[in-house]
Amino acid sequence: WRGGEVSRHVPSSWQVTSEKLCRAQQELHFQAATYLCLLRSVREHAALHQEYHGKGERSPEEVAGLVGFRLPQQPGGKG
Amino acid sequence: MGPLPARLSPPTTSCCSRERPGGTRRGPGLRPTGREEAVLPEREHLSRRSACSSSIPQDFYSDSPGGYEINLDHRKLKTPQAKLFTVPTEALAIAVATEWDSQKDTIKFYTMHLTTLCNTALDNPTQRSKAQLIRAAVKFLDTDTVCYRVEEPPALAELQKNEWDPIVAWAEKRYNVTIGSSTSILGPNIPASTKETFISHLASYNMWALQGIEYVITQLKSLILSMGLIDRHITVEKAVLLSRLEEEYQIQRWGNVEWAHDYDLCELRARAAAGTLFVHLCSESSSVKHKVLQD
Repeated sequence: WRGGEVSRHVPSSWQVTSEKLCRAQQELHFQAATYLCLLRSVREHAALHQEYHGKGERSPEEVAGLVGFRLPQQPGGKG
Repeated sequence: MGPLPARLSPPTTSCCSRERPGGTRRGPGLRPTGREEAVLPEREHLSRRSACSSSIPQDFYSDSPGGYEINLDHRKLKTPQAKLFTVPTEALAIAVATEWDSQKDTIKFYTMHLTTLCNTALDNPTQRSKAQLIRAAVKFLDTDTVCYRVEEPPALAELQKNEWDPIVAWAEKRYNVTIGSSTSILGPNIPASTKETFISHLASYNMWALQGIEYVITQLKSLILSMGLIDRHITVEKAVLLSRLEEEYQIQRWGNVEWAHDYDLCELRARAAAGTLFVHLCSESSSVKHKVLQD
C-alpha cells in the first residue's frame, strides 16, 4: 500500500493561519478521523471475511478429484 | 437499492471478475472456467497487481465534463455502465486510487466503498432525480431509528432514552424543528414543517453529495444520525454505535459472535465512514482569506 500520494496531498491543503480557533482545523481533524475509521474498518472487515467467509462450492473437476477421477476431455463439447 | 460494485476493464492477460451477489459476468480476456457460471456470493480471481495513479485532464470542477480520472495500468477506469470514471475533486480521486492500490493479489470489490459510491453517482442506476433522492432521504425520518423506541425491556428503554435523546435534541436545536420520539408501532409523528426544513436543507447539496447522504441514511437507518455525521457533530464510531444500540445491548447480555457481530460492525463502520467522507469530499471548498493585522 502506497501511502505516498495520500500523505503528499494532505499537507498541501494546510495553511498556517493566525487563527487560534480554526474551524478548518476541526473539519480537517474530523476528515482525518473519518478516513482512519474507513481504513481501519475495511482492513478489519476484510480480515474477518478472509477468516470466516465461505469459499464456495467445489468445481466439477475438484469433486471428481476427491474420489480420484478425472473428467473426460470432450473437444467437441457435450453432445 | 445500494450502490453497484465497480467493473474493471482488465489488461488482456489478467483474469479479473466482477463481484456481485448472485453471479459474475466475464469481461474481455477472462479464461472461462466452470466456476464462472456458478452462483456464488463473492469470489476473487487472480489479477495482475495494478499500479494506480490519478491523472488530471483538467483541474477545475464542473458538473459534467472535466474532473479527475483514474488510470489502472495505463487504462482508464470505467463505471459499470462503461462511462468514463471521473470524480470532481482531487482528494476524492486520490482516495479512490488508494483503494485500487490497496488491492493485492485479488480485487476485493466489497472493500472499495468510495469507488462504489462514485460509480453510483456517475451511473445513477436507480435513475432518481435530485428531488426523488431528497424525498427518499427525508422519508426515513418517519421510521428513524433514534425516534423509534421500545417499552420493554426496561433496561433497553432506559438505554435508548439516555443515548438517543441527546442526539434528537441536538437535531431539533440545530435545525430548529420538532421531532420527538415514540413507542407507538406507527413510529413518531413528524410534523410537515420539520420535513420541509430537511427537504430544503438537503436541496443545498449537489447531486453527488446527495447520493452519499442517502447512502449513509440507508446504512444507518437514521436521518438524524446521518445529519449528525454530515454536520461533524458525532464520529463515525459513535454514529454506528447509536445505530446498533439494540444489537450492542443484546451483545452485552448474551455475548458477542465474532463472525456475525464484528463482521457487521466493521462493515457498517466502513460504509458509514466512506459515505461521510464521500459527502465531504464532494462538497468541499477551501479558500484562504488573508486577514489584515490590526495594530
